[in-house]
Amino acid sequence: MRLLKNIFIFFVFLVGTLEARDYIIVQSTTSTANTGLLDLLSEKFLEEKGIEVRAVAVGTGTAIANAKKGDGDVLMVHAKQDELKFVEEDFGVERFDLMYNDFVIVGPNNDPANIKNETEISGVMKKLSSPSFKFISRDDNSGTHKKELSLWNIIGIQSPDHSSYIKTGSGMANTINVAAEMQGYVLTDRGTWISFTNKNDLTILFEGDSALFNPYGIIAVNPKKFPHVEFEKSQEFIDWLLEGTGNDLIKNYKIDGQQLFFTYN
Amino acid sequence: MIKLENINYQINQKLILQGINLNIEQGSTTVIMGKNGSGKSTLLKILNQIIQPTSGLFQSSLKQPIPMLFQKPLILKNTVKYNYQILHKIKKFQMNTSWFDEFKLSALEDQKMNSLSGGEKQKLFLARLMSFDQSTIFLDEPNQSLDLESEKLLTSLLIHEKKNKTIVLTLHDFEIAKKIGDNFIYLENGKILVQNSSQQFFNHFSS
Amino acid sequence: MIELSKVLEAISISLHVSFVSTLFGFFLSLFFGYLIATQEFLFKKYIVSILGSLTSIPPVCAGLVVYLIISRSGPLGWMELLYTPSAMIIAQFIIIFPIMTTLIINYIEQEYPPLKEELLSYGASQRDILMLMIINQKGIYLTIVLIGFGRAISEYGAAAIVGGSIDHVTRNMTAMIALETAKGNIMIGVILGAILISLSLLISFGINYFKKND
Repeated sequence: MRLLKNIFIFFVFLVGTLEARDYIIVQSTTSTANTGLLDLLSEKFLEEKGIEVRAVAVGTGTAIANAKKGDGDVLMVHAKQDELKFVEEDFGVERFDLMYNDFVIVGPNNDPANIKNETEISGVMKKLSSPSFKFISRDDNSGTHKKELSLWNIIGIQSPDHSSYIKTGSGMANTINVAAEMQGYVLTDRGTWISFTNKNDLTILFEGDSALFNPYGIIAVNPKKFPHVEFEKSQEFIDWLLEGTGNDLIKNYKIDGQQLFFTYN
Repeated sequence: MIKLENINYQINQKLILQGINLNIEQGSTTVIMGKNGSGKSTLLKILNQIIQPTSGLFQSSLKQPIPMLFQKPLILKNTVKYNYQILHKIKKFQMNTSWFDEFKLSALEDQKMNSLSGGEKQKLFLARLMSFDQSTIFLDEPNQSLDLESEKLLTSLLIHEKKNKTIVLTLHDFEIAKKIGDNFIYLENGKILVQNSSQQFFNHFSS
Repeated sequence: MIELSKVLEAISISLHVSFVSTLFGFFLSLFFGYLIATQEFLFKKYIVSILGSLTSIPPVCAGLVVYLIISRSGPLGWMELLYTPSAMIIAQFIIIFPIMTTLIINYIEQEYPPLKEELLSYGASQRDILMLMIINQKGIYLTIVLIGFGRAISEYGAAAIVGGSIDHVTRNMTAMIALETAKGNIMIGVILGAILISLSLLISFGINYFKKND
């Protein structure tokens, strides 16, 4: 009676939205999403090629985990080691260099740790490892977090182990906000920093070291492992980004006159 | 018509009615009296088969429950007219509007139920029940909320009805009981204290 | 900063998703609520208790549960529901169903016994009784619908996890607030929040109005 009718309607509704999936799912990072680049690329690709792109922005670690479960057609993150492993383990077909920018270390205007004048990253990290200065970490398995850990690695530690090392376990925006509140230092990608409108009195205090290089890769999920993925459409998207209009869009994406991402050609 | 033999009614470990022996004869008017909480409404509901006794023998010439007047009758959020007529949609029956007219309810027909006074509502409930023109009538405190004049009218209407009907009702008022009752029962804590059919019943209470 | 069209889009997605989830929630909670309130059955007390405790399920938990089920690696992965508005509807439904059902159960448990006795004496069937209850208590049911809708449209976490906050598709108001805040556009977050609160106020007034005019 009524119950059956309702269940029926429920499933008709669900099924009604089930006609062949005609979009591709891109598992990507918050750093690309928060700049607005992902939205733009999705829109333009749809306009030009008629294929809808659904880009999900989560932490790099989450994006990779999702893709490994088959919840994505394309993986677009900035954690080269993990990306290569992803392909090695047959989850992805091939990794391509998509674009790059760099990370910067941001801190309070008055630079209590005096890292402004450092010339090398090791000097900076040594100073910031001291409990006299607050360092705010994302601690969320993101690309940024993984980069941060690699920097501590340079001076031989896993990460500082005192109460001035603050773990927010959250995204870049929240972490920057905490840094502003606590007058601490934080590592962020330049793209997020440029587009971030709530800078308070934080400013870039160290940049340019090769260790701060931030490359983004793009990988199509392996159709042999997940037969349901939209492989052809994913390939089209990747080609469009590497050599087509997508490439130009990335190059020309500016906020406040500043370019956020750089391409390899 | 209806026979109760050693009827008990228990709910949630509480004994509401105990050892009730009662005979309702066709054409008679029985008045059930007693303090609040003595079990009057429960006894009435058992007589009309609204609830089942937990033990004892129950016999009735009625095959199923019939419309009755409850202590808290059904009110639907709508007009007086709607409340009067709605139950006829559920139980199809010839409508007898004599009580409706006697209580002059047509003047209130289009008013919303929540704008009526307690007495006006009660008159509507009475008229509604009596519109079903049944030969057996169960009434739980039919005179509640009524002013003196309406009460007098109710009493005379009941006297008229009782001529060829079986009536069972609960009352607090001895005066009205005297006027319309043939048999009288007084309940105390779920047991019949006094049961009689005449002046002797009232003598019991005059001391 | 942000185009008006994007904001309007987010609002329309919120309205669409929450409207449908509330609709499903209402009918199913009416059915189950009525059944549970009027029937006696084994484990009834436990079921009512569980329903009651589910009313305060954190949205992210509901979102997680649905995600695990509709993820490709989950039992219903083949339905390809992840990152669609349908998934958001399901997640919101899970959040509001316990509340609405519990409210209906409480209400019917109060209203039903006196109704039942009198209508029984008139020979009414269960269907008759339910019909009368629905038709004549419109106010209370409207209230329950509004409460469910309010909860659905203002939740963040459930729809966001299973919807993916995708531009034009599953980015509803709360997801947009989260995104804009993450970008540092606090102002947009505040404005959207104000719109949501105004909506809640409207719903509150609606509830009071129907309560009074019943």
